[in-house]
Parts: sequence; structure tokens; C-alpha cells
Amino acid sequence: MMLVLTPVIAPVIVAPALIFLPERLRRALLFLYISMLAYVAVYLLSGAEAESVTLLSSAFQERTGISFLSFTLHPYSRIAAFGFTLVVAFGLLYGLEVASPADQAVALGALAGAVGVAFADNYLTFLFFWEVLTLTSTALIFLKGTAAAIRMAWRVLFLQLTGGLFLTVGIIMHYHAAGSFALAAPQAGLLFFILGIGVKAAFLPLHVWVPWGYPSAPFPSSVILAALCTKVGVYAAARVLPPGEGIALMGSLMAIVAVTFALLQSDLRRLLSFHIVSQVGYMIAGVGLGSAVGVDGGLLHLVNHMIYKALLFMSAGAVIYTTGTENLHDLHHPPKEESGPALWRVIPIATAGALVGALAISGTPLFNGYVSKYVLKKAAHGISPVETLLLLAGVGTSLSFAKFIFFGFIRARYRSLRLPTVTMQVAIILSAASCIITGVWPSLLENLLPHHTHLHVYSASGVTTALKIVGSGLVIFALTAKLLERGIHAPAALNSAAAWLGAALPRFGAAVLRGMDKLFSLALSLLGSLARAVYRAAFNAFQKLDYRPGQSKVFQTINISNIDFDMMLVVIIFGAIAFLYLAMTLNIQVFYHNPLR
Amino acid sequence: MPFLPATTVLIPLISAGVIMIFSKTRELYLKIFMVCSAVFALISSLLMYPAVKDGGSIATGTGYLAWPLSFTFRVDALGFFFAMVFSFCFLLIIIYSLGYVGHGHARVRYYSLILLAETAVLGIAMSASLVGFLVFFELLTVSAYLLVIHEEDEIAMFAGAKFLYMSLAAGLAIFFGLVTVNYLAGRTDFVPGGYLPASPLALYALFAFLLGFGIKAGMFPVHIWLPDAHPAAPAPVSAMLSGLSIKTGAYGLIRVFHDVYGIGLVRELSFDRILLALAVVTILLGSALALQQDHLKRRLAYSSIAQIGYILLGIALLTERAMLGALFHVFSHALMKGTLFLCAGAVIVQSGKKYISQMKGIGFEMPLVMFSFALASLTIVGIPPFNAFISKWHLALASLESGRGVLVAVLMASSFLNAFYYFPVVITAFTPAEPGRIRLDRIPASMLWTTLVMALFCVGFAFARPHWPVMLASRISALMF
Repeated sequence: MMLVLTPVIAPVIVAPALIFLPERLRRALLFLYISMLAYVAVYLLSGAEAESVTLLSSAFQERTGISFLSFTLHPYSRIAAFGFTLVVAFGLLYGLEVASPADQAVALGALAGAVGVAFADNYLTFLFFWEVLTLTSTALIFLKGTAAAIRMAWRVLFLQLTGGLFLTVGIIMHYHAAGSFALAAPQAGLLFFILGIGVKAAFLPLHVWVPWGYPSAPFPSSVILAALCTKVGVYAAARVLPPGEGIALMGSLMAIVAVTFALLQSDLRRLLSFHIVSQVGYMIAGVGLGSAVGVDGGLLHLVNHMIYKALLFMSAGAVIYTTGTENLHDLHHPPKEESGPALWRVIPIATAGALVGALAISGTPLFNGYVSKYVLKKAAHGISPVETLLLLAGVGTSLSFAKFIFFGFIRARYRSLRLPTVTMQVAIILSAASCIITGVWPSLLENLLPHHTHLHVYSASGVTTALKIVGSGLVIFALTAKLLERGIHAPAALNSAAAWLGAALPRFGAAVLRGMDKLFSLALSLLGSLARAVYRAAFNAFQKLDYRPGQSKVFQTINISNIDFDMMLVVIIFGAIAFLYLAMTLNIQVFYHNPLR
Repeated sequence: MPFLPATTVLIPLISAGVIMIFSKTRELYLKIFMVCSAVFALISSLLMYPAVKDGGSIATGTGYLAWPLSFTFRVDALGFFFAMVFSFCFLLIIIYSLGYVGHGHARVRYYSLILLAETAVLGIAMSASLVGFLVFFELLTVSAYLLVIHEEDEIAMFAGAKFLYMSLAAGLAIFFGLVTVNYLAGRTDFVPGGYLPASPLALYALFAFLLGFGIKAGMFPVHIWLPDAHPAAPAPVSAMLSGLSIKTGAYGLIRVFHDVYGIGLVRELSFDRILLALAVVTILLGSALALQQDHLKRRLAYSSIAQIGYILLGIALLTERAMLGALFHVFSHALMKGTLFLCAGAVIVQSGKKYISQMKGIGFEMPLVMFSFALASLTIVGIPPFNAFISKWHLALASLESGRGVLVAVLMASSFLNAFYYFPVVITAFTPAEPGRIRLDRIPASMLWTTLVMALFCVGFAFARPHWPVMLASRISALMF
């Protein structure tokens, strides 16, 4: 157990070291760390024993018996932690040469947060690592340092912290009702739990932070973000939220709505971010169904999705690294002096990686996306809106990824500044290989599934259905390629009604807030100046009384036989006090109150 | 050892006198003497622990004035808790001051006054009756006033005058309450459970107490001195005012509610509801106003108003768990706000920057100080499991238990606002103005390590085992109800 906890504990020492070590040592240390992560992943896959560990106990133990930082190996946590460690190992390898030391250090912290949430034994530990993940993942965006990124990071932080607060309220109410911190289904405050977890898991109106944040981060950090944040939300939904029709429906709506938005995007990473929301919708649907097959499918999709989405972000990152842009319009129709050979010839490995990722995400047989989507479809079979919505979302996904590959790699002719580094390409190859290996031999991951569903997924009907979905996506793409191309080249303002709507809502909110701020500060300044005037007058009067004894014109006129008025005041006050004291000691009643009351 | 309460108060008092008398000796000796006396005061207050931990008390009598106006030093568990926090934070603040005022003017005046202020706050915690309380309360007013105007510029004089007049008004209000209590009951000492008979006059006296202690604590309608006095004072004095001095107001309220009036009478006069409403306004107003400040110390001052609101909330709920939350928040807020003010002082000493908008990239020039600032702000926001989370947790549970769920919303809203006025400082500090190397802080060593120690205590106390501050607070609150 201590071994699998190393990703949680080691960053305390390793992360500061990464910042301060010189270049070579830093890379060596990070490489060691990556190997350690890979080893942890393999260890989890080979079947770690379930046991509990308590590391640090806190003040709460005195009153509640629950210690802070206590971990346990739940079947759900094993599969989630496997995904986190494996994919972040790939992601760190990808950024080994190109990410800044601060980015790498914070990424280790983010992994600690995610794995900590996965292994948490009680709500306290859970909440702590939840907040660690919130802070570190936002820090990854802040570290980009540009004004736009900082603005987006603030928005993300705002939403995430709100979610954390909702979760805290939920946990307080749960503790009040249940009297225990044990990580069980909430007994009270379910709404707060749904809202709190919903922010992380990108439930529909709350999903906006994903397309805000992910494209704003530096490109190696996007890989880490894509692997961790929303997946932790899914894990929490599986572990804590009681399953229900509503959640399953929310998941399938996420899947279809986000795909629609994704079709309209013309930035590589924005498009991928909307697909994250969509794919998370699949997982939420599976988890919300609550059946053994559904939960297994959801969690398996969690791992598979992490692998291929990281791969896609890596390929997009390679495009950004090579050309300096991620806008499909620029890539496709560069200015004359900046055009070059077709991009897929320049970066063949990244293109191949993107292709594998695209095939996996659309659920093509022999790739890992097919496996989990098959299980999910089996779980959703016969549950009417969910099944249909997921099928439609599948078509949308393959359509949108045809666009991604076609315009982003094959037809792109932007000049290249430099080629991807070796480690970037190695990471892409490794991730692509894992996509294919787990797709061809799905039984490799059977060991991890909490309900031990058998992964015999290659049936004739399954394969034909999947091929039909992918094929219809491709056919629609072939028919609408011209239209999509025009969409890419349309001016940003006219891009689409949906994009405008998506932007109008936050702008409206910001305008309302700004107006309230104006009103508030106006009222405050009025109140403040009024109060200041009153106080200044009062204190000036006092200071006259105090600092110029015998010289005030007012008090010179009222004097009685050479005793100044201010002296007189003092004498009277002391006299009154002395009188009261005397009255009290002699037991004379001074204050009378109405005896009738 | 019955002399301990008296020595705890008298050591700093006598030292202050000695420093005044021998002000012409070499300054190094004075500094050593000052630190030694602060250490002895700490030791003397900690030595009382075995006697008070099970609800006992130690008393030292003096023959000053005849009964009922005699004042006696007595310590019980509650007084010990406050004395421990006060003397510990004072030790760190005094060591920090050595660096902060080290090259300024009027150093000897500062040294003796800060020891007088320590006498005053410890005396408040050690008093056995309202009379002693008032004497030390006035001593605190005078010494804190002179410390606030230490810079002697126009801003400091104005803020100091405001502070002085309002504190004097507070003293007079408490004096009125004291006289009335003595008239009604014939005694002024603190007795667990209270002794005051119900009478209309008691209502006026309680109002006067609320006004007096409220002014000291920075409660909503009378908080106005606080945001002026804190930025004008030297940083260690701000830390002292915010971390310790305003807690004496809360301490007075606890004593008056529990040991003079008794909670039955307070409920009958429905003052708990009045205080509750004021506390809620204090929390929200303090947080909302802090959000608008650009002056760092002013922002911290408004945040203090919000945080004292938590403590008042815990007092007003009149339940055991709420009292636990309030007491523990006294402890955690003293450490957190102390750290934050010490960091602000360090920033002023090294770079002269007072406004948050000027602090871009300052985290790379003084990494250790800003790291402490980040730790303290994480704590104050209430990220589990650090100190403030523990107190907020108990306050939230207590408000649920007393059937006022809306208070949880108030607490959470305030936490949220906390995040939004503390994180920008940290983020601005660690956003580089231009790419540059990290350098180490260039401030006197005594300032650096006291700040660090305080910051580490903010976080570290969450992991103390056994966690004796929480144990002590919970035992005290169990004794009170």
C-alpha cells in the first residue's frame, strides 16, 4: 500500500527539488519519477492487496475518531489510480524537455491530488485532496502567464472553488446526519454533493470551465489537465453519488450537447476540450445506470479515455510546438509567406498518434475506445433515451474527429519552426501503443474492473454497429466537408449562433457583477464620505477640547472665576463618579426603578 | 504555585519599567532583557497548565483597594487558554520587532510600550474581576495608542486619535457596566454560571458591555477605528492589535455572558440574538469590504473584522460546540493573522511596497516570506485540515445543531470571499514581472524566522498529536456548559 501512495507523498520533496535543481539533474530526477509512476501503474494492474493505511492524524481524531490522511484501496480507486499514474507518466515524459520546471512541479502536485482523492478513506482526506487538485490544476493555467490565460484561470478557480464549497457544505450536512466521515452515500445534502462533484465532472451548465481552462494552459500542461480534473469528478460520482436515472440522463445529454459544440470549434484544443465533456458524459451515463456492467463500463471508459485523450492532446501539442498556432483556419490557409509542406509529412509520428487517438475515441474496433463503449452500450441497452443519445453522440464524435484529422494534419500547410523533441515523440508512440494493445487484448484490464465483467467484446453485431457509427460519421463528413471548411474560415464573430450564445452568458454575468460592483462602491463611497465628514467634525471638536486647553474661544467665554470649562468638565465627571461611589458604599439608592413593573 | 498568575503579569510590567529607567544603557542589553522577559512570561503562563487543566484555578490576592473594588489575579482554564495564545504570539512579535524597528526612531519607547501592552493583555486574561479587567483594559488602550502613533506622521496621528477616542469610549461604557453590576449584585468578580439578578438595569449594563467590548473587538457598527489603525501602525503592532488585542473584546464578552450574567439571563434579555445578527453582519461586511482594498494591510484589517465575526458568532450561539469553534478560532486566527501582518511588514521593510497592485513578482524577490503568506492564506480560507477549517467546521456544525442552517451559508460565503481576496495577493506575487532568478529574502534574520515559525505553526498544528489546543478548547467549552 505504501508503494501505491508514493505519488501522493513524494511530491512534497520532489516538487520543490524540481524547481531548484539544475537542468540535467532535474531531467534525471523527473525521469526516475516517471519510471516510478509506471511501476506503480503496473503494480496496480497486477493486483494490489486491499488494505488501509493511516499516515497523519489530525485534530479531528480527538473528537471524531477519524484521522486525517487515511487511505484505503477500494476496487474503484484501484482502476482510477491506475489510469492517473499511467497517463500522467506519459504526460510528464511528453513535457520532459519542453515544460518549465514550475509546470512540472505543479503537475506532480496535481497528480498527488488526484491519486489522493482516489485512495481517500474518509471525507476529510477526500476534501483535502479535492482542494489540492483544484489549486494545483488552476495553478497550471496561471503559470502560462499571459493576460488571457490569467483571466481564464480566474474563472476556472472561481467555479472550482464554488464547487469545493458546495462539497464542504454537503459533507457538513452529511456528518450532521450520519455522525461519521466514512466515505458512504450522502445521507443529507445530496443536492450540494451533486453540485460540488458536478463542477469537477463538468455536469452540463457547469461544464464551461473545461473549454475555458484547458486550451489556456501551456500545451504540456493541457495533457496533465485533460487526464486528471474531470476524471476525478467521475470517480467521485461513482464512489459517492447514489446511482439514478437523472444522472444517467445528464451523462447522455452531456455526451450529445458537447459534441454539438465541438463541431463548431476551430481551435484544436478547444475542440478536444468539448470532446472531454462529451466523453465524460459516457462515463457519467454508465456510472449513473448503477448496474455492475454500467459501472464497470464507466470506469473502464475512464481509463481508456484518459489514454487516448492524452494522446490527442499530445498530438495537438506537437502541432502547436511545431507551427506556433492551433487555429484550424491559420493551419489550413496560412498567409503566402508562411505556408509550407503538408503538416503530416513534417510530423508523421504526431499525425499517426492523432489518427490512432481519433479512431479510438470514435470507437473503432481494435482500439481501446471500442471496448469500453461496447460495455457501456450493453449496459444502456433498452434504456430508451440514454441508448439513442449515446449512439448519436458516437456519430457526432467520428464526424468531428474526421474534421480534426483532415484540417488539422492532412490539409494543414503551415510552415514549421522546429520539430517535436524526442521525448515528445516517444510519449506519443507509447500512448498510441497502449491504445492499440488494450484494444486488441481487452482482457489485460479485466483484472482491474471492480465487478469483474468479462470483456468478450468482439462479437459480430458489436463490430458492425461500431463500424456503422464510424462509417456514417465519415460519410456525413464527406458530404459536409465544404460546409465545415466554410465554418472554419468564417470570421470569428459570425462563427455560429452557439458560440455567440456561449460567450454571451458569461459576458452578461460579468456585466451584472460589474454593475453591482459599481452600485456597491458608489453607495460605499457615499456612506464613507458621509461618515468621514462626521468623524472629522467630531474629532476636530474633540482635539480642540483636548489639545488647546484654555485657548478655545468658545470655552474662554464660558468660564467661572478663572476655572476653564474643560477643567470644569473633568471636575464634574470625577465628582459624579465620587458621588456614585459614595452612594454605593453608604448604601444610598440612586437609581430607582418603577416598582409596579 | 499560587504566585504564577501574578508573575505572568508582573514580569513584563517590571521589565517595561526597568527598560524605561535604564534607557541610556547599550541597546543590545535592553533587547536581550526584553526577549528574556517575554520568554519568562511565556514560561510562567505555560507553567499554570497542570493546575487549570481539569477545571481548577489559581488565585493570587492583592490588597489593592477594599472589597468590592479589590482586584485579584486568578486564572482558570479559559484565562489560561487566552494567556497562552497571548504570551506565545507576543514572544514572536517582540523578536520580530527587533528587526523591524531596529534602525528606526524612538526604539526604547517602543520596547517599553510593547512590554506594557503585553502586561495589559495578560492582565486582562488573569483578572479575577471586572475591576481588574477594566484597569488592564485602559492600560492596553494607552499603550496601544502610543504604539499606533509610533511613526508620528499625519496618518498615524489621525488613526491614533480615532483609536484613542473610541477605546476611551469603550472604557467608559465598560465602567458604566461595572458600576451597574456592582450596584445590582454587590460584587464584580467572575463566577462560573453568573450571579446577576434579572432587572431592567441589567439590560442597559449589558448593552454598555456589548458596546465596550464590541469597540475593542471590531464588531460591526463600531469597527471603524480598526481599518485605519492597522495600516498606520508598525507591522508588529498591527499583528499585535489584530491577533491579540481585539481578542480581549471577545474574551470580555465570554466572561460577561458566562461568569457575570449567566447564559440564562442573556437568553432572557435576548442578547444572544442581537449579537448573532451583529456577528453575521460583521462577517459579511468585513469580507465584502476587504475585497475592495488595494492597500495590503488595510485588506488584512478588514479581514480581521470578518474573522472576529466568526468568534462572535461562536459566542452568540451559546452552545458547547460553538464555544469550541470560537475558542479554537481565537487560537488559529492569532497565528494566521499574525503571520500575514508580519509578512506585510517584511514586504514593506524590504521593498517599501504597500499596495497589492505593486507587488507583481515579489514572490521571486522574497520567496520565504511569500511562501509563509501563501501558507497562512491557505489556512485562513479554510482548506481542510488546517487550523481555520477546524474552527469553521465546528461553527458550521454548531449552527446546524441549533437549527440555523442559514449560518452555514454565511460561513461558506465568507470563506469564498476569503479565497478571493487572499489568493490574488499570492498569485500576483508569484507572477513574474519579467523572467528572473529566485533570490533569497533580504530582511533581518529575526524577522524572517519568526514569520516562518508562525506560518509553520498555522499549518503544523493541524497535525499535532495529541492536538492539545483543540483538546483544551473542548474541555473549556465542556466546563462552561
